[in-house]
Amino acid sequence: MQNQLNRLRAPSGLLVNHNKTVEFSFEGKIYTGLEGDTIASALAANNVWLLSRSFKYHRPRGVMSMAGLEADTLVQLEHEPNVAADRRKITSDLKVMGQNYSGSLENDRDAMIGKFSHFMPVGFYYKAFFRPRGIWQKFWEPIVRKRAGLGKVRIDTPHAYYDKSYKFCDVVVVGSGPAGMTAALVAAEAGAEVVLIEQEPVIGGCLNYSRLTVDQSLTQNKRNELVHAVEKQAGIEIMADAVCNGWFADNWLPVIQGNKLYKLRAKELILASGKMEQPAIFHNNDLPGVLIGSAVQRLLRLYGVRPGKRAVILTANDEGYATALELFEHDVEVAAIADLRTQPADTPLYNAAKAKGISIHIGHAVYEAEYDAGKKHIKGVKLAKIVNGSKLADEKQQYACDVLSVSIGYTPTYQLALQAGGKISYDDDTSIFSITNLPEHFYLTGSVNGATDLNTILESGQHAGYSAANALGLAVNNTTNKNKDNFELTDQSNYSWPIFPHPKGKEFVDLDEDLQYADIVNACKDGYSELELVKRYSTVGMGPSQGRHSALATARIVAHQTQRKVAEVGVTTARPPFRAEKLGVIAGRSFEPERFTSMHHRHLESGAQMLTAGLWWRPAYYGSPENRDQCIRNENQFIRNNVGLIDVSTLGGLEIRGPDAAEFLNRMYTFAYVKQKLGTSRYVLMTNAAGTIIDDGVACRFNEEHFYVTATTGGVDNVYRTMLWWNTQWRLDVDITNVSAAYAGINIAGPKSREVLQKVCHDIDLSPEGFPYLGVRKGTVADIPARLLRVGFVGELGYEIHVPSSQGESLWDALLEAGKEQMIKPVGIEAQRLLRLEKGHIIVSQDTDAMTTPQEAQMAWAIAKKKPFFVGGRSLQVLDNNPSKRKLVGFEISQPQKETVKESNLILDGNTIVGHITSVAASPSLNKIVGMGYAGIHADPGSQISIKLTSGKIITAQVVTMPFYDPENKRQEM
Amino acid sequence: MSDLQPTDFRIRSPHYRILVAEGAKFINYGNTSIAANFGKNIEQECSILKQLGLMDLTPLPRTGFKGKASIQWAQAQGLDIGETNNFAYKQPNGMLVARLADTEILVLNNIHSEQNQCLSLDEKYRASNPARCYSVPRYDASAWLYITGAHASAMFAKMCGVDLRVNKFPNGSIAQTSIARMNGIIIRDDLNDTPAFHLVFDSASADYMWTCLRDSFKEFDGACIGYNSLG
Repeated sequence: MQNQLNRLRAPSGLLVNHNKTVEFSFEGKIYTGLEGDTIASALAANNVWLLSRSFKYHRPRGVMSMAGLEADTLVQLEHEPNVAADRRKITSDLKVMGQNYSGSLENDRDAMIGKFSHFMPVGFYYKAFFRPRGIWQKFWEPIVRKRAGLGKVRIDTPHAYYDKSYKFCDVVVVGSGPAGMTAALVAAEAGAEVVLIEQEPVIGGCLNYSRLTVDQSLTQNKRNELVHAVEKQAGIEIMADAVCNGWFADNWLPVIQGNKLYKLRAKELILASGKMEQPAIFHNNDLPGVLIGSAVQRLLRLYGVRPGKRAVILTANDEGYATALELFEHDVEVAAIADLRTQPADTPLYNAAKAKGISIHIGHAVYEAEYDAGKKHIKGVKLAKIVNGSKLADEKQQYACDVLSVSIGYTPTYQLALQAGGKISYDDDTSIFSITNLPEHFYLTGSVNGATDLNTILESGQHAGYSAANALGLAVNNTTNKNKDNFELTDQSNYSWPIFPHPKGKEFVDLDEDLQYADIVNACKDGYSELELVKRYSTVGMGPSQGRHSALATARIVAHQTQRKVAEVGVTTARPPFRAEKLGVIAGRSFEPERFTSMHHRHLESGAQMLTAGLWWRPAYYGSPENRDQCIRNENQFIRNNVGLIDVSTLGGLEIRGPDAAEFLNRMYTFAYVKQKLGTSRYVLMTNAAGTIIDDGVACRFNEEHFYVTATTGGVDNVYRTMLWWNTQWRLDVDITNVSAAYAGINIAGPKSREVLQKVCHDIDLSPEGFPYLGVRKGTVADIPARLLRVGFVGELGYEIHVPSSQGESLWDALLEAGKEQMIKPVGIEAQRLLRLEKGHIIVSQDTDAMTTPQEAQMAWAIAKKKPFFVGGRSLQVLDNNPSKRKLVGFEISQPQKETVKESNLILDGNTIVGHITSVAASPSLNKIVGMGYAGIHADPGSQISIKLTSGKIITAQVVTMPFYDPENKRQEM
Repeated sequence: MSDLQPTDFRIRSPHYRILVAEGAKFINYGNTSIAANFGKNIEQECSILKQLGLMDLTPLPRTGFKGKASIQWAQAQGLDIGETNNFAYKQPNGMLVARLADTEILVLNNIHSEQNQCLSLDEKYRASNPARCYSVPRYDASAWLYITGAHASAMFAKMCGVDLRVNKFPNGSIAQTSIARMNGIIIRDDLNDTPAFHLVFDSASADYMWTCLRDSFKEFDGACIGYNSLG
């Protein structure tokens, strides 16, 4: 167990609870932190700064921003890789490991790779891996794959619960710093519903940690005043620990809070995202102990952690002096301040630091950071006077230190604004950014909008709040300066060239990808002058931190190398997500709709193996999977020889009602319906405008103006939609209602079906004469109101019974009870498919494809040629003059085959593929293999076709006339 | 409490097995059964009702009519239906008539009544066979759930993209929308001061929807409540 050597006494640390310690492990050692600590802050409290190894050279890395901006803090948890150590809170028993090392984090065997960096210049990936031919697959790929990535994914990781929710508000404010809080207050006071998003656990933004003024209590008081006002304002909902991870059209914002993704729609968006402090570029600028100034202040103020014992500060603005005062007040010796500027601004912060007697080196830079004996941390720095631009004097001043704080400038946190279409500009003379061209209902405020001192930031917040409230039409009392603050002025300027190349290199521009100054220079020398190309060639900005610390420096170097201005070079495209997001968050709770028939649970109780058909679950067969084929054969024989029940509830059901119902069907389907007799059903075949078969079923006519039309399980929604679409144009006097879910359907089929049905149906004459084949009737079955259809899909005497779905299970039970004497059995879909194949009936979408016409399917008999119009009719007329080269034929194979003939096996004409098998099965009724498939146009009954089996073996099949079973149709019409 | 079971009746809620698994105790309602409670006492379930409750009203009568003359016909039968689409009109007898479009209404029985108010409407329809007015078999096509309580809007936000916050979706408002990727109709119909929403959706998806709702309920400690908690 380690002591918290660097921990400041209570009440230091806004986010930590000094009264509650938390134990966790890092690299197998137990450490103690405080409740509220991040992994990084707790380790820092224990003087552990080495968190990971870098991607390419395996250099030691630690925190730099304490804000989750860099990849160097990514660590491995038991079940989660690539966790930002400066964002994730410690919890009891948390097990943390470093990442990307060989051996141990302390002694990484792969650290030697850095010594060969000269052999891995920029773009070496593109130059090295492809010669000689084949070396990539044999040599390089295994090496690269082994080393690729950072953390490790465990496949035994248990599923976590991820959630999603929609959210709505009038105004969303992204960022709860001084500008964000002020804007939120103004909008809420005007009556707007405001959501305030803050990535930290508490609101306050930079006021929570940044000094800003010589008298820190002034900042603290302002912070307390604003936080208190926001928290008591009823119109503001605070979302802390939440990240707005992107911007999409009309202010649609993905906001991630823990494992939950909010899909937030805001009428007005105020972006108060602040700015990101940038690192300087010098030799060993990546070593643990080199922190940006805001990170030092975060450690002190948010976590109560002293970043070291002796500090050197590199600065070019007041942030460095504020950091110096902070360190000074927390008993950290400030050995020296190197100020890049030739003349610092005469500000209170500068003067206050100067008054502390700190050694200040004006016009100086860091020549190099020196690492300690173990090469895990800095032990000192060498300063040198800036001679000209990036050139440093030969004379160096050495300072021993264990922390180097860098405050040389910023970039605005512009990502969301640019995703919204904003254009960012950079003034090369002043090094100031500006963002323009924002869409309506999008406002910038605070430092992201260029405000630098606290007065301006607060005014900016008020202005944004008023603007949003105004846009909402809320009455606003616009007195922008009513609470005008009077904080001291500070210099928050950007230094234009904080880049100092070193003879030994290792001055890193992009720490994610271990890209040095020379790499960017060489990319330009290789001919890549545009930033987007430099990015792709060098991979700068392509790591987990997405250029947050490298984009500006890269732009400056490219501009310098190509003799252009940074403004001309621009920045690379900003795309969502802003931060890395987990796939689980994106997936969230997955909604996978499913539909059950009324008899669903009865099937399960009967041992059915279920399969899906669209959203529906249907019983495939009843019995164990190992007996699948036998079960299907048995069920086939129940129907052929006895009686069985098939759940056909999933069939679509459409009520077509109104004076024009028959005319409507005449137009929608290929057959004729105007003269269809009452009490009968007729086959329906639907084609699309191109003449392709898209559905089939039957139309039952119950009266002159009422048809009940069935459609296929998977096709009914499209049929319904298509019908509505056409009638929107035709304006026929007809109503179309999809009643698929309202009816349960049972097909009782087999030679004994009438015998069973007679026991429970007493108000319908079930005799062959009273209720003939293709007849439809209304009556009751088992006292349940029912529609009965005499159909022949399976080729036996049968009745489809359609009843209200709330009574479907009761009907199923009643029929099983009534059929006990006849040994009635439930029959699954697989057997039904086999039965209909024996009968030569097609299944649309199995025996047809996206091009099949009625002629190809040999169903020209289903086309009424005398009627003037039906959808697809004109196309079919045209196709009559251009006959197809294929047709659907029935075939049989009498000889037993060692290899199973399968659907999709190819049908050949010589060596030419002419089609494929669409349905095939060994028929228990016929004792041979029967099937359907597309063959050449001359494959008439009596001819033979060649079938290429899965193994490649070619067999011969006999083309026959369908149906295979009961060609005289006597059984279904009995 | 009797041990009455849904299978004692021919007419059954499509998801009655889930209700049984949730611990429902059933009572007779018309010619079917309804979940009266879920093993808690009436005070407990009434308390849940105010926070976040899920009640199955599928056994209650409902019907629907569509067609160009459907609203006109319904008004002729004495129903008070205003001009605004996507709004539900409460009738003096407690029935709720949801005007879904210029050409369609959904009629929900008074949830507090054990009288089948829709039956007479259906009988009048069958007797008169009005032109351009067509019945919709809502009782069997649609399941009917009632989601009650202060957290109902927030709970729906986890399943549905429509803003159902009580200050944005007034009592009587209707959303015909996608809920957990299923089509459905949400009607706000408060219980006195308690926000409450009817959810009418595909009956074949009742098990699925119930499961999705129960999952969404967890965040708010919502629970199933029985018909008796309506008081």
